[in-house]
Amino acid sequence: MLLNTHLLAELKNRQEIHERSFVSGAPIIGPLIVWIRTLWNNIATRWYVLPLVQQQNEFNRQLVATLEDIREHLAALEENLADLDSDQMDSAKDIAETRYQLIRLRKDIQGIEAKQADTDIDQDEVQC
Amino acid sequence: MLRLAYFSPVPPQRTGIADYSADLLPQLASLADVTLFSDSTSQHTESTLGDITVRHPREFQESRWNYDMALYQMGNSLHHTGIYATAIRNPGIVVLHDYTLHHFVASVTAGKGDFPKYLREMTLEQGMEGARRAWQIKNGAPTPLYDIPLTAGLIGRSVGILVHSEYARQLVSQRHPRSRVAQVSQPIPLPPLLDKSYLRTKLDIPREAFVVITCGINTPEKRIDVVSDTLDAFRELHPDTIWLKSGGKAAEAVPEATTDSLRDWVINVGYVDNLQKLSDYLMASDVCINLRHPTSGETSASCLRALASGTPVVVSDEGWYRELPFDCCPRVVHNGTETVQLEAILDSWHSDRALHLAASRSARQHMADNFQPRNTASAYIEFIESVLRYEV
Repeated sequence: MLLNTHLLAELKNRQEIHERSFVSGAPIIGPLIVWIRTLWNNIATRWYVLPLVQQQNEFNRQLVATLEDIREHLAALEENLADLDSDQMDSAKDIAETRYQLIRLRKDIQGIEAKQADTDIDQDEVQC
Repeated sequence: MLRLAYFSPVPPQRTGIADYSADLLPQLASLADVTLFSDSTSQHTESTLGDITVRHPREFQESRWNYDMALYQMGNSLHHTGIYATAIRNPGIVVLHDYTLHHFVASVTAGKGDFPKYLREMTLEQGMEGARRAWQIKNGAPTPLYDIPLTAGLIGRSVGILVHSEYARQLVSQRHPRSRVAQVSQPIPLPPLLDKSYLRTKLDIPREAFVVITCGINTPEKRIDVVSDTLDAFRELHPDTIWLKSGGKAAEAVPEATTDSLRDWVINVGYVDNLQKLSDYLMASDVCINLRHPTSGETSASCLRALASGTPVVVSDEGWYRELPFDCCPRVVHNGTETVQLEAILDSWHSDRALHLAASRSARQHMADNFQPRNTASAYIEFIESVLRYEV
């Protein structure tokens, strides 16, 4: 399957993006750096970024849902195609067998007609 | 008289099935009105085929109503590309020379960039599980060349299937219980027996040597590596040993090819395109080694030609080989001890000439009893008639 379930599950797990808390590895002043950056983020960028994150999450959810629909649809198509191929294979065999039988019957009829023609000639000769 | 449309590679194409048809066609043509459809004929072919009408395969579509049956010689190689396409479009009786066609089908579908076609063939073979496997293969899983025969599309359409061994017949019947399947023998003419000393002089082979021959296209399945190792060791004990190598090289690398030049006891005659000459080489030899592992369910024509020449053959303990008489065809089990087994067999024939003579006579008798082209042609006709009568 082009869209396998494993890949879709992986996408679904990662469809939501989240804010990340600031961290700092600096000794002693690390908590101060985190506090300042968080404060600045709350003042300057959070109000702007959060709606974007929500918008992106909504888009991701819809995209994954659509991919799941497509996957189901493709799976159904693949199964339908498999059934059609199988039916077509049986039909091809039936048609071939019918053709061979017709060829044989045509040959038999030609034989009967030839015999009939011979018989007619014989009868004509007897009448003469 | 039946009118048959016969599709096959023919000489000068370098395939065993071309030789097969060259042996069968004259006999078949004496029992039926045969038209050969081939795009590879030459003046040489037409002169050897005598009165058989030869037409181009593209002419078949329009004239198909003129034939009581179409016969397709199908093997696992690209020589059969056109034949396969015609057999799918106009089903008839398929003579299946290899039980698995996976190499071929993969080559003409996914190998040419048509993955969807490969996917559909896999689905016909194994249902949705086959489709899943096909996607896995596309994503890098190894191609199961021997596990999945990929013949369902062809067998399912065909009105009859002919195979050359009971082994293959059972395999096809088990997988396709609705198919009409029958076994016919390969057509192998018995060559007249010629004096070995005379032949060796003619072919420039030392008269007193113990000659071991290998033939055919050198594919990895033929285990030439095993033969090479065995003969290296065997020659230490028996310096009169000569290795006569006949056959072409496969696309896959042949590892021992470069070392041949270092071994003055190896005679490499290359591809022998003349069956009479091949028969001379086989008859001039003491033993033929004909291993196949893994096997794709095929019967080996070169093995049978060796037996017809009165040369006993060491074979693999697999598939069709098990149907051959053990006294002239001892079997090697592929379990890691092949060289030991092979050496023991060669040693028994090298040291006991009476045993070797008995094996040689048994080989020829087996071929005289079971593989005459006339009988194969009769079996073909019998099967076609039974298919047309809806029997089998």
